[in-house]
Amino acid sequence: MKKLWSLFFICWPIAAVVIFAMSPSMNWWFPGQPASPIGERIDDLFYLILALTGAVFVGTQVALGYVLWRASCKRDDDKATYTHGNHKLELIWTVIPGIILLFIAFKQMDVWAEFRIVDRVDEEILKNPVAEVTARQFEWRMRYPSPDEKLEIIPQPNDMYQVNELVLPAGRKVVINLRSGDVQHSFFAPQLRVKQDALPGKLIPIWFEINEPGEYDLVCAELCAWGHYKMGAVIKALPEEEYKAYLQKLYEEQNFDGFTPKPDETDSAEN
Amino acid sequence: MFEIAKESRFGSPRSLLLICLISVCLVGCGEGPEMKFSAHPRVKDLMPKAQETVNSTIKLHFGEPSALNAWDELPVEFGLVTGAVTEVQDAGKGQKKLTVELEEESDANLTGDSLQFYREDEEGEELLDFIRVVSHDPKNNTLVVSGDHFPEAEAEVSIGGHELAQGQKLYLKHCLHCHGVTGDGQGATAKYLNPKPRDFRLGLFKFKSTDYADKPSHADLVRTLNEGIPGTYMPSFKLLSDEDKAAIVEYVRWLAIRGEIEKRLIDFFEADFSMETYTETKQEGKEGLEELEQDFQDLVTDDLPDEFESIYEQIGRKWELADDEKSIVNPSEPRVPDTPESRQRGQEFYVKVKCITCHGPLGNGDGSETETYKTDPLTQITYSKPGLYDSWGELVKPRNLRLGQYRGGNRPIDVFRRIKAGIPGTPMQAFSSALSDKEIWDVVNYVLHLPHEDPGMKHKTSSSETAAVPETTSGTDSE
Repeated sequence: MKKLWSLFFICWPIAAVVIFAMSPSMNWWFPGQPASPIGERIDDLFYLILALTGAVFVGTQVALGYVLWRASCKRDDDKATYTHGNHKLELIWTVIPGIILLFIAFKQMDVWAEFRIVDRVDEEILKNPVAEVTARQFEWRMRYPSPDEKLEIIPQPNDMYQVNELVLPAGRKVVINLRSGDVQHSFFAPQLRVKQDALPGKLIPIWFEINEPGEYDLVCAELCAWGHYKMGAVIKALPEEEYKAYLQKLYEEQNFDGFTPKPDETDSAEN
Repeated sequence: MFEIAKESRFGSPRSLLLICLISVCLVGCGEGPEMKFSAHPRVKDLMPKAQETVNSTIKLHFGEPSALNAWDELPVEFGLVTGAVTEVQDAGKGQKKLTVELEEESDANLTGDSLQFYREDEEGEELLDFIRVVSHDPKNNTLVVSGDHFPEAEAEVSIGGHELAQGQKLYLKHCLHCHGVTGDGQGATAKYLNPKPRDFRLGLFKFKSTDYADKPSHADLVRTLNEGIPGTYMPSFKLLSDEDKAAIVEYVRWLAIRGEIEKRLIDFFEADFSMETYTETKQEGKEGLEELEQDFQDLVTDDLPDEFESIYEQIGRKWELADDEKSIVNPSEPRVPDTPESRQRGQEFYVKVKCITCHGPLGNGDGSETETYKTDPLTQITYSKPGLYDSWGELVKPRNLRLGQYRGGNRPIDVFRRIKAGIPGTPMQAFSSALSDKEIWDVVNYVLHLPHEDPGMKHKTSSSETAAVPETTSGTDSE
């Protein structure tokens, strides 16, 4: 019975390693490969911290199992020994984790700055947000500037609107203005590893680059009310040329006047 | 040592835990209450016999949520297959096994569908009836059916409903909690919402491409699912697959048809056989009451069948017509260029055709009509609150045209259609006779420019946070 407990504790590090090793193939892992440069850096940080904490977890559990196992081999009538602390040992187990924590703290700073500090974004990019995303119960509403115009904070007559579909250029850093129309929401693009809360009354710029053209999820990551689960949208990343063409097409759709000229009066068609 | 401790300490809590687990299983895993289509509240205004007739007629032709009836007279995609019964065998337990020769080959599994057939009652009258398909063997084309009556050999039958049931499944998942089981806008969350979720039963849909009195087309309803309705709680369902959206649209159309037929039946009986007449006659004496019931019976046998047929044919035809390309409201002129002169003309028309009485002199939705007391056209009772009311009896605010929020879409053609064809169910009438298409375009240009010409809002000058504040607040206080 005593051996059982030491085996019980030794099982956990083994189970943890096995489960972590299985996870990627069982689709229990990340939502796909990171699709943005910042996502790659965040993943690298994650793996670094996972390796550190994993090593510590496995090490301490193995040590615990070992101590239990050794104690279980002793006869029952052995008397316990009492110790009164070990200064050297305590110093070691305080200083080493301290150094590791400091290392993590300094190591992550640059990634955080890249993710959230406005100074890291080129002024040119920052001044030209490609879209304004307004989260609202329970959908995402996008506003784009019309082709060749800048996105203003106040809606302009030529602005273009779309719902639950955010179209962005791939391969360059873009800035998006995030708003909330009602309560607190959170803009979460899992494949891009981008997450930012949307606060009512506040305009929050977020920036990222999408490496490859494709479709990525956009969901709400802040429980916003009963319909929270409905707040799914799609981010469509297009190559630069297609992106331009798409915006042009959207502009035409938004200005559609429903008029189809009869074959003999095509010349009078405008708009 | 451990074993002793375990026995003494955890012995009784463990059995307690077991009891808890069992009770959770018993309580938590029970079947929910069965869903039912609820009758329109106005049915209660009819005399008891008329209530029965309306309810049974609706139930016969539409069924219940758990057992939908696919009635082939409706322009709805049920996934119907038709054929003739070749053989009827007894299958025990009140069920029968039918062998059906189908007109066209079909791979559909018809289990759970309804089987429609005609039978004769005691007096030799032909009656419509539905029974349920319990199991279907597509190989031999045999169906096990259960019901009170069964078709005889050589009877023509039509079987279907699985496609509508698909739409129902999605409707129950995505729409139920606001729009309700019956499509009456009485879902669980409805009471917290303003504006209220749409009650489909009047057959009125606000945002569509067809004329004022017309039904919406399939494409219109799909567009509403795709785009949502900004300024209301109707979100976008764009990410559902096209088939799913089409299935939901079909189910909503069916619910609307069901509701409208029910309403028309109530209208038919209301004049002579209301609860009021019934109680009055009852007080006068037994003789009058018998006479009233005899009159009612005569009406049901003599006039109801024809009336009912004309009701569903009319409604069905209207829904079919909405999908005709000719029903789409399109301008005969392209949009007039959006110039200051055009907007100026638009403003003049805005005053001339009295947009101003509801939408207000500045377009803020505060016209004089919002201050006057209106009467309910049905009951002739004056509403307790001043303002405009819609066909559902709810207070409705004329749109504030300065918010830049357009429920039916912000494309010029959307605003054009709102003005030309009006918004059914609301005091927003169609202006197709008051204004020419060219004049409507001027109004569109004026209206679309309103959110951008507030003197308090300076465009393209300031990019500071403070400048954004008025816009943000106006965006959230929409009704």
